[in-house]
Formats: sequence, structure tokens, C-alpha cells
Amino acid sequence: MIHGPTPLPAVVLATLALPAVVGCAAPSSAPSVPTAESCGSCHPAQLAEWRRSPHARGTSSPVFVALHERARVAWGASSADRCASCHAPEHAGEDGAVTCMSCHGAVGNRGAHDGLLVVDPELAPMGPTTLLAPTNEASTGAHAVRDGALLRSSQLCATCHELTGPRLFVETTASEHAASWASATGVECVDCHAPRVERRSAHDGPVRGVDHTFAGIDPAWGQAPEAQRDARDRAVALLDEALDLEVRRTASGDAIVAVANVGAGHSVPTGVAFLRDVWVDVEVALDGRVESRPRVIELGDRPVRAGAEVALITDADDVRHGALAAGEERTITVSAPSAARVRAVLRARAARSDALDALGLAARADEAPVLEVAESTSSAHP
Amino acid sequence: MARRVERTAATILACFAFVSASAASADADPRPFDRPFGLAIEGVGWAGDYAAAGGGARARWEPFERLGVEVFAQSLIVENDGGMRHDHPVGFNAYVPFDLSEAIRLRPLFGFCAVISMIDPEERGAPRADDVLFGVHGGAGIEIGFASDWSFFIDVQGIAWLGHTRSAQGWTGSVDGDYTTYGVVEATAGLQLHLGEP
Repeated sequence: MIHGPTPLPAVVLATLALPAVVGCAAPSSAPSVPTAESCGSCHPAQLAEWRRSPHARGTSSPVFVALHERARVAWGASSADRCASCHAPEHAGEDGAVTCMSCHGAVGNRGAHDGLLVVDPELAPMGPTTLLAPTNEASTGAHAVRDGALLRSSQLCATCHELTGPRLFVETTASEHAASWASATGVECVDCHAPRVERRSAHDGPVRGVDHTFAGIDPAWGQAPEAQRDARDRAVALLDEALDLEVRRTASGDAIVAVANVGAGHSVPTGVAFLRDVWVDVEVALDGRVESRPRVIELGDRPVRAGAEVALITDADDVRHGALAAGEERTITVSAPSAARVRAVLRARAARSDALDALGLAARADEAPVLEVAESTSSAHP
Repeated sequence: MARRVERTAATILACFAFVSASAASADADPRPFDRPFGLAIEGVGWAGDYAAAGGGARARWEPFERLGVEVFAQSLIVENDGGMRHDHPVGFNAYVPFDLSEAIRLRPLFGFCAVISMIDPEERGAPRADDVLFGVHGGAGIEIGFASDWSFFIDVQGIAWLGHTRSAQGWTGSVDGDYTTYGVVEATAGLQLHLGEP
């Protein structure tokens, strides 16, 4: 067994050839552990989805690359190496990122946090293979399958989406989920982030499966415009599902702007919440004049040093938490004349602009644009 | 209530009297405790940081009148929230026997042990969280001889172990790098076959 970034034994079933399967182009030389490309020879739809996913960009995301280097400089090599256990686990050789094998070859973890995933290549590769399958599907000529309860479990996702470091680099997504209504009602990570889709599971296979795009707020760094647009649309849809924005008027005409986390089974934002930016802008319109009141509500964590905000977690000595927990509502009263129209807009961005600047990514800021998630308007108070 | 206590006390006294009388009436026979070797089987239970129950066996040698040594091996099923845990202690006792009567001995004892502690994962193929714990123990036992080569014994000991912190739940099986101490009170009861020439 291996866990984390431990290199795979080179000898694992290297000589076993992929059995010929009708409709599948077996690779010319079988790798010791299947890469995403070789899995895609029978599962092209999943491969295409995976290529668009944040999992495929585990090592190439420019934010990861820049922040990883910052971590190395600020906190030392051993701290930075901890990042690799999730971003570059090398479960499938040259596929450094999170690949098919990371989840479908997993047998468990050495703790549901910090990338301590255990992938067993003796169970996973071709030949006498048992891959985790999402349903109780029959084994095929290419590989056997085993019960995929682990695939459906948030315990698998938690292995990399619950981090206790290095230093201030803490992510609590899995524990947020465990404390939320979602966990209590049996809603797992995959129910929102890998929903069921209608397409063939393999060449000539049954029409069923899940979306391997694993949509979140991350942009499709470096991908074609169409893929970037698709990632934005998915992010907006998820955020819109998660957050409820409302403007209520008081008797005096003031507006109460409320944003509630009604749909996410974790805080919003989550994960690298100290990079994310989610906020509400308000416009007060009266007699043809529009007054902007930006960022009346800001969600997300903020790195601070000596009490002052800083751009990057690596420059911080503390983190000020501000994410909106599952089920939580945050409100603010905006003074407005009773005759005014009050419009609130919920916006989000994968990374704050000051963080992108600090990471030397200002030139790529367009790839992580501001997303307009929802709006709510209250006309003049009667 | 008082009558029941009196009756119980009378029964215990009668048992001791019977055992002592049996030993006394068999003056010609050697006592089991006069024999230098022994083999025993036992039932064992833990309470404290863990609750557990199981069985074991032990072998003893008394090279001197006031010193005996034992080696033992046990297997116990241990309460555990995730996966079935089974512990397998092996260890050593040294004890100092004192005669309370012809048929009854008190024996303060102490020793050390190693415990191979295994947790079978709840999920097939999940990582294991097995560990080896090292411990010391001390306590006392009562032995009651009832034939020339048999005795019944009860030991009560405190045990402290040093082992890794572990977690085993669902697909998680981990053994951390840091050490923690654990403690239980152990009660053992068994039958001893005494061997060797008196």
C-alpha cells in the first residue's frame, strides 16, 4: 500500500496487458498503474470531464504554483512538501495530479485529513483489478469493480479537503460538512459536486454516471474560452444554489440586506477561504441618482498581520474568519430613504485581486473574473 | 437483609473451613503450592480506558519458596467504536507468595508485557491501525488449593501501557507518531495445574 506522495512500486503488475475489450483502444504498452489517459481509452467522457476539473489542475493551477513557492520561502521546504500530498500525490506515475486512481484505487486513508489517502495499486491496476465503482456494476474484461461506498462517502473527499496545516493553511470543509444539515440528512460531497449525468459510462456501456468535472468556484486556469465559460457557469449555479440574497425594508425605509447559506453543506466560501472573495454590493437609487455602497457584506477569511489585513496567508500571523456557515444568515441594515429603490448584488471571485497581485498573477486576473451570482431589489417602501 | 449477610458470611467461612480441613486431612498429600511448576488457563477482563474480556494461559516456576515467575499469553476482545479490536498481551510476572493458611496463598505480583493490538477495519481493504503497546503491571492474587496439584486463583492488577494514538473508523485507519499512556484494572480468574515433585 502507499499513501500520500510515496512513489508507486514499479513492479506492480507491469506485465499484465489490458485485455482486449470491444470498443476500447488498449494502450500499446500497459503502464504499471493506469493513467488518466489510459482510463480514458474506455471512458472518454469521464476523461474529458476530469480534464476540466480542479483535480486535473492540481499541480498546474497558477495560484497553487505561486502560493506553493511562497510557502516554501516563508515556511520552509517541509511545510511546502505537505501541499504535495494532495496536489501531486502521484497515484498514477507521471499523472502527478489527482487522477482516476486517486479515488477509484483508494482503499481508505490514514486519517480523514491532510492528504493521507491510501491507494492500493495491487487492487487497482489492470488484470486482477478491483476498482471502486459508483454502483454495483459488473466487472468487465478490462477490470473488476468493487463496492464503491468509499467513492460516495465524504470521508474520501475529506482526506484532502480537511487540512490542519502547514501553519495557518487550514481548511475545514469536511468538518463544516460534518456539522451541517447536509451530513445529518445524508447529503454527501458528490451529491452536489459530482451530480449524476446521462451519458455512457464507457464505450457501449450503460447510460449512467456522475459528472467528473467536480465543479466549485475554481476557474479553468489556462483552458479554452469555452471551458472557462463552462466553469464560470457551474460556479455561479452552485453559488446561487447555496446562497439566498434578500433585501427587506423596515418601516422607516431602511433596507436590511440578508445573505443566507441555505444550500451548501459547508461554509461559503470554504477550502482556501482566505483567498476567496464573496461579497454583496448595494445600490440605492432615488430620483434618477444611484449611490453605490460596495461590499456591505463580505464573506470569507482574511489573513492578518498585527491586526492589519495582508494579501497572502504566508505573510499573516493570524486569520480573521468570516465565512458563512451552513444554515447561517448574515444581515446588515443599509440606510435609505423610504422612497428609494435598493438593489443588492451578490458577487464572488475565486481569488481576491490583492492576492492575485501579490502572487504575480495580475496578468491572468481575467481568468478569475468577478461572478455575478444573484441580485435582489426592493422598490420604494409603500 | 441482616439474615442474608449472616448466611453469606457463614457460607464463606464454611468454604474456607472445608478447604482447610481438606488440606489438613490430607497431611500425607503434598500441597499444590509445594510443586515448583504450574500451567494455568484463565479468564480475564479489563476495565478503565478500555473494557475487554478474553482468556489466556500461563506457565510458572517457583525456584525459591518466596519467589515465583510466570509467563503468560492472553487474547481479548476490546470495546472499540470503529472495527473489531482484539488485543494479545504476552508478558512476565514475578511474585512473592505468602501462606495465609495451608490451602490459601496471597501473592503480590508485578511484571511487564507487550500487547499486540489489532483493529480489523470496518470496511474491506481499509488501512489497518495495528499497534504494539508496552506496559507494566502490579497487583495481588489469591490462590486456593483444592487438591494435591490443583488450585484456583484470582488476580487483580493495575496495568499502564504506552502506545500510539490511533483511529479506526470506516475507511480510516491511522497510527499516529505520538505516544499516549493507557490504564486499566485487570481481573483474572483461572485454574492452575501444579507440576513437579514437591
